[in-house]
Order: sequence, then C-alpha cells, then structure tokens
Amino acid sequence: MSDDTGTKSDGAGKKIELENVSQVFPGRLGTRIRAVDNVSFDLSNEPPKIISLVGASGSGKSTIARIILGLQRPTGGSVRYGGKNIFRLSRRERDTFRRDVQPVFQDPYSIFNPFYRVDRIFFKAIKKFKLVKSKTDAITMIERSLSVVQLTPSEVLGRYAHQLSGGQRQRLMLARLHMLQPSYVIADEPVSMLDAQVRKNFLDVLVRFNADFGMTTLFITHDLSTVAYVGGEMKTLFHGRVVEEGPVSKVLTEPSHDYTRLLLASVPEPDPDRRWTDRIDLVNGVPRLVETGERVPAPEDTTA
Amino acid sequence: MRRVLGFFGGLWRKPKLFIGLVLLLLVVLFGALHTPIVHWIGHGTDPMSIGFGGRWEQPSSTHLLGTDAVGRDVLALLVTGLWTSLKIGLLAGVLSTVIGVIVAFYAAYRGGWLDNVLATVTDLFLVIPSFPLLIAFSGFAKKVSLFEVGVILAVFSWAGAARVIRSQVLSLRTRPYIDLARVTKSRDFEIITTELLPNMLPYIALGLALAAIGSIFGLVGLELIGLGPSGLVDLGLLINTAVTGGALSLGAWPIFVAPIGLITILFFALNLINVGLDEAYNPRLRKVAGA
Amino acid sequence: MPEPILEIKGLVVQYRTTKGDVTAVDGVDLTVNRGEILGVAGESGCGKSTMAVSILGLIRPPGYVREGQVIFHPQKGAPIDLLTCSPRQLRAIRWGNISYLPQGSMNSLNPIARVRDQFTDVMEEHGERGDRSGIRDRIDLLLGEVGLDATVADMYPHELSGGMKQRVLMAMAIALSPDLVIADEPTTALDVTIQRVIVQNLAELSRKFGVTLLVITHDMGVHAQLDDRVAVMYQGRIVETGGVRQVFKDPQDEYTQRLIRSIPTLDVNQRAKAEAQESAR
Repeated sequence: MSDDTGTKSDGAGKKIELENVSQVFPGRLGTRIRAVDNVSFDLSNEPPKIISLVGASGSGKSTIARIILGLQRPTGGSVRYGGKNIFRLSRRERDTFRRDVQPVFQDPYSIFNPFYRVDRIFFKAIKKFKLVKSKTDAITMIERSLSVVQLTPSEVLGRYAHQLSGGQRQRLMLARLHMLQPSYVIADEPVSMLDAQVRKNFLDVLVRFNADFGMTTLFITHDLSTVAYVGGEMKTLFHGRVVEEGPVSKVLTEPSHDYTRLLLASVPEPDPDRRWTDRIDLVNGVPRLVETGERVPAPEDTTA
Repeated sequence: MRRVLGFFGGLWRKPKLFIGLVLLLLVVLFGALHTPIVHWIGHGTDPMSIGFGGRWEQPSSTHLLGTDAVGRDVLALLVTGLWTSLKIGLLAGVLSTVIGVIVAFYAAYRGGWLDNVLATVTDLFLVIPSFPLLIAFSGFAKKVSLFEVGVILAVFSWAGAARVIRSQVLSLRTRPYIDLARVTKSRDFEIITTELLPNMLPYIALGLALAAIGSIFGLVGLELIGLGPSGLVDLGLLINTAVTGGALSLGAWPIFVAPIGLITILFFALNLINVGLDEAYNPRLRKVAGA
Repeated sequence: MPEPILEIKGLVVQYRTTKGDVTAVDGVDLTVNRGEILGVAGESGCGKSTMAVSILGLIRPPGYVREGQVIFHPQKGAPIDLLTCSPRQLRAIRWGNISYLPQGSMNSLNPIARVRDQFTDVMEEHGERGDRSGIRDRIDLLLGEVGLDATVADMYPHELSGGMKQRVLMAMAIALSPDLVIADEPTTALDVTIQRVIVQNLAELSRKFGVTLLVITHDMGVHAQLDDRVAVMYQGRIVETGGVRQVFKDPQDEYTQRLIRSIPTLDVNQRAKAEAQESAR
C-alpha cells in the first residue's frame, strides 16, 4: 500500500534521541519552574512503535512535544535526529527532519488559520515539501489522502474550519499525515476534545497508520483509557521526570510506581456495580490513595 | 482575497459598520469634490480671495453658507478645509499605522530583549502628553508643509496603534496554526505576512481609523488656539476664524456650525466603523455562549 | 414515595442566529427528586449545559427560553416557576435554595478578593446574620468539608490550583445549606486524580448534608460512580431516564446503547476484541 503513494519521507532509519532534556521556565517572583527534568529516551522507527507519554497537566508532557518538534529550545540537554542536534541541522537535514517529524495538535480548530480555507494546509505542505509539481497532481493527492481517512473531498474542501465538525477537523490533520508520510508523529492530546465515538475512530486511524505506513507515534495524553486503547508502550511522567516505562499491557495491569497506581485508581470505572472501595485524600495538596474497604453501592433500581 | 470580498458582501448584516462606512464615504466624497465646488461657487474667480463677497453675509443663493469677515465664501473654505483635514488624517494615520505595525510585529513576534525595548519606547510615546508638545513645536515651525504636519502628528500617534497590534500579535503568535506553519517550513517573514497579518487586518483598520481621527483632532485643536501651521486651511482654522472674529454675535452661524457639524459627522462615522469592526471581529462579542 | 424538588416541563431553549433560530433544548421533561443524585449524560452539543443555565434563568442572548416551566418545590411554601418569577425572587433562591457550579467555574472566582471575603459576601448578601467570628468559623468548617485547609481562606484565587478553586466553589455552593446543587461539568479540565477527589466530595455533600445533586457531565465513568439515576440527553431531548444500574446494564434507547458501548475503558485488549468482533461479522 505504501508503494503506490510514492511520497514516503526519506528520513527512514533515523532515530530521535532525547538526552537529559530539561526545560526551566521563569516562574512568579523570580522562582524557576522545572517543566521537564532530565528526560532521556529514544524514538526509533525500526520497528515502528506507538509510545504513550502519560502525565497530569503540568507534568511537562506538552513541553516535551514542542521540544521534539523543534518549536522550543530546551534549556538543558539535547534532542538529536539522525545523530545530530535538531537545532544545528544543515539546511538539507532540516528539510528532511521537518518532513519526517510531524505533529497532531490538541485543538483541531485552532490549527486552521481562520482567514483561509482548510485546503490550505494541504497545498502548503505540498508546495513546501515539493511533493508534486502540478496542481492537478496535488488535487489528486489530497483527494486520495482524504479518502483514506474517510472524508468526502466535496464535503470538506473549500470550507472554513468553523464550518466543519471537530471530528472532521481532526481527520483533516490525519489526512495531512497520510500525505506527508512522516516516520514520526508527535500527537499532543489529540483526542481530548473529541467525543467518545469520534475519539475511537481517530485512534483507529492512528493505529492503522502505524501498522500500514510505519509511522512511529509518540502519543501524549493524560487519559489512561486512550492509552489502553492504542496499546504499545507507555511512559509515566511525574513532575517532569519519567517515573515508569514498559509495555502498556504490563504497566496498566501491574503498575510498579505509586504515581501510575494513583492515576489508574483515579479513572472512574463506568460500571455502577464496581464503585470505588478506596478513596483519594489530599494531604497538603498531594494526592494519596487510602483503602477504606467500604463501598457506597449504587441504589437498587426502583421500578417506578 | 475572496475572504476580503466576502467581507464587503457581508456588510449588510453589520449595520453599524455599514452606516459608518457610508457616512465616511459621503464626507470624503464631499471633500474630494472641492475643486469643482469651488469652481462652481467662484464662476472663474477665486471665492476664497479677500473681498469676493461682502463681510459677514448671511446664507443666500450666491453664498450658500454666507461669507466671513473678509468676504470669503464659507462653503468654499469649508470644502477646502475639509479636504486638507482629510489629507492630514490619512497621511498621519497611514504613517503612524505603518510605524506601529512594523514596531509591533517585530517586537511581539521576535520577543526577547528587543520586545522589551520596543515596548518601553511605545509606552514612553504613549504617556508623553502630545498636545503641549505639539504646541511647543508649532512655536518653532511656523511655515510647514502639509506633509511635515502629517509626519509630526504621526510621530505622536503611532504608539497607540502599536500597542493594540502588539497585544494582538502576542496572543496570535501562540496559536497552533503558527506552530503548524513552522513545522511546514515557513520562515518568520512568511508567517508574519501570510499567517498573522491577514488576521490582523481589522485591528490595523481600527488603528488607522483611530490614528486618523486623532490627527485630525490634533490639528483642529492647534488651529483652534491659533497655533496651527500657517498656509493651511483646515476645519480647525475655520472654527478659529469664527471664534476670534465673533461670528456668532454677528449672526454668521454657518462658519461656526458647518465645520463642527462636519467634524462631528466624521467622528461619528469613524466611531461607528470602530465599534462595527469590534463587533464583527472581537471573538468575545461574537461568540455564542453555551453548548 | 419520591418527592420532587425540581420539575422541568416542556422546556424549549433556542439560540437566535442569522440563519434563523436553532433549537438547543427541544422539549425536555425531567423531575429531580429530593435527596437524590441525578446525572445528565450526553455528548458535547447535546444541549445539557444550555438546559442547566436555563433552569436558573441564566441563559444569555442570543439564547432564550422559548417555552416550558421549571418548578421548584422549596422545603416549606408554595412551588415557584423559576422562569416566570421576579428577578428578586430568583436571586433569593439562588445560593439560598439552589446553588449552581458553572462549567469552568474555576474561573468564576473574583481574582482580586481573598477567598474569605468572597464567602462572606455571599453569606451576608443572603441574610446570613451573625457575628463576623461566627461566619469565620463556618467558612473554616465548610472548607474542611471539601478537604481544604483553613489557610486557603486567606489566599487569593491565583494562589490556588484549578482543583482547589473548584473545591472552594463547592464549599461556597453549600455555604447557605441549599436544597439543590446543580454542577455543570464539575470535573472537566481538571487532572484525573483531582477529578476523583471532586467526585468523592460531591458524593459526601449528598450523603452528609442531604443535598440534592443535579450533575451534568459527558463523563460516563463519573455517572457510574456517583449517580442514583441517570438521564441521557441527545439532540436536545432526554432519550432515556432510569436508575444508574438499569441505564448502564440494560439501556433501552438505541442512542443510550451506542453511548454505553463507546465508553472508553482500561481494558488493554479492547481494540483486539473489537476487531475480532468486526471480522466475525
């Protein structure tokens, strides 16, 4: 399937390596906030993987995404792509890097410049990355990518972002990924603004891209149920550090770190017969899991 | 481009903006026709020459708005003065907007120390009491051209536009579509001109309207207290003539009322445009609450 | 026999747009019984938030209530239609009898006043008489009820995290011992652990103080853990109402069935199962 697209990025085989990456922001009253604290990990495309980065807000996960995408310079450590610091790439290397590492952002609405029609993100990418030369080829290419993500070209092309649904907008981003065929997808909370059904469709496409086109995906989220859904590997981030990592099937069933356990215990199970028997108390603002043994059962149904 | 055309197509649904633009257009048209109007009044002679008519004549069919203390036709003075005021407004407005836009975009998009310096300079120009300075300035420069007056006024009014635009750029530059443009290999200049600038157009138009009206008023104020640059006939000079000549006590009300009326209409029109643009483009006023 | 505290009858709410009116709430009938926790579930855009703001007459233009009644039954006295009563009556009922925790309510605290002063304002405005020290003690007590330290009272909102602000508002909501608390997406935009603390707090409000709760959220997990009854809303209508167990285990309406099926879970094999199901078909 990937053969007939013929537009595969030529960055194949290049690794992304984070080494002791730190990011310090100036905080209020001269304090310094350590958003990312000495994080090191590799992303490899051989074989393609899905890696989830899980953490609460303020755990530094979005900052890591921005750093990998080269949108933000870390205050410490380095990110290397194909062995070279991404902020010191030659022009040709940077072109390859840009094409090869692509984002999916959280808010599917504001990735579209409200001044233009949504088609622009495709034409711009085609022009900038010199995917095809003629306009007719470009349109053919866009329409093929749209059909892959089950969008009807006539329903979305020529529209403005506000005329489309959240699911359509996020699938346009997926179509853009399909067109660019990057080796790495950095997806920062891509489904947090989508309803459950639309969310599943989105994740299915992302997983399919991983399998069919070999896109290694860094999936950044706070939601463990989406991690469970996409599978692969996961890393738990806590206060800017990676505190636990491993295959999702293992970490979610036998978490070794307290924080992962706490995150798991926080997810409300959608089953009224399995209500919480423990509780989370905040001790000086720090959440702690306390076993109480009591369960407040759901009431028996009173058939009126 | 189609978006810009769409803007004009959608004007019917923005009555304030529409009325404001129509009023402004009428005033500008009136000023633009000053040559034929003056020609029509004078029938070959200059109606603004001393002794063209009698002193302080009442409005009549030959002098629709009467004459002034030296017999000049008030209507001719009015259209000429209006045109000068409009030219000053446009010149100073455009100049200060251009300065403001460049400073604001450069400062806000690049950030860092440059932003700090430029923001401080902007604030400095904002707090300088421009009117007393203009007064002091006009004491030195008695014989200045229209262009020079425009430049001087612009120097004192660009800061307002710069500040409004800077804060907008600051909020726009963190939008995900800017990030998307960056990962699609767009350069800074390209991002500023193709991603940011189009979204800023309403604010730039707003800045232009505000700077223009500020400059027109600035000059009127100077003329009113008799400190305007000589050789320029603008609306302020007419009011000044009326006040110093005691026109009202002589019953020659048009020379007083007509320029004030024009200025009021101009102010009203520009303010309607201002409010209309705000309503159309300020998301807080546009958004529908609730789900 | 359940005794109603709030009856919504035939509520229709519309938004005026340039292309004609859009119906957000399309003839909702819903009864909240005294002492229960009733959840309203539904995906974004189904009209549940619009319904919540309309109940208390807080709908803003271009939205407006087209028709319907919202009848509140106070502990003592005659029932009142909240949609037709005077603004003065409505103000007295708000906070005093019905409290409302708006969506994103973390942002509804006054940024330049200390928590204590905001509490005092609410309490005094609604005729909570008594000496200052009495009010002081009560504020500390209320903050304690939602698991906050008494020192929080002397802080400004910007010194508090999102979860703390949400809990301050919950404490404020029960300050005047209302009969009914309406919470609109109380857990949205908070971290998962804090979400759970908020859910625990809500459950305790109901259990300890007998407060009736109307909890509006898209999060089905919260409904399963918290509610006594659930009403499912879809395209401006209530499509199903029932006991929490019935709705989750034996949904009757076709939309509810779909909604229940799409709930994300922690099952690591769910996608494999779904695919197997798909291919078996």
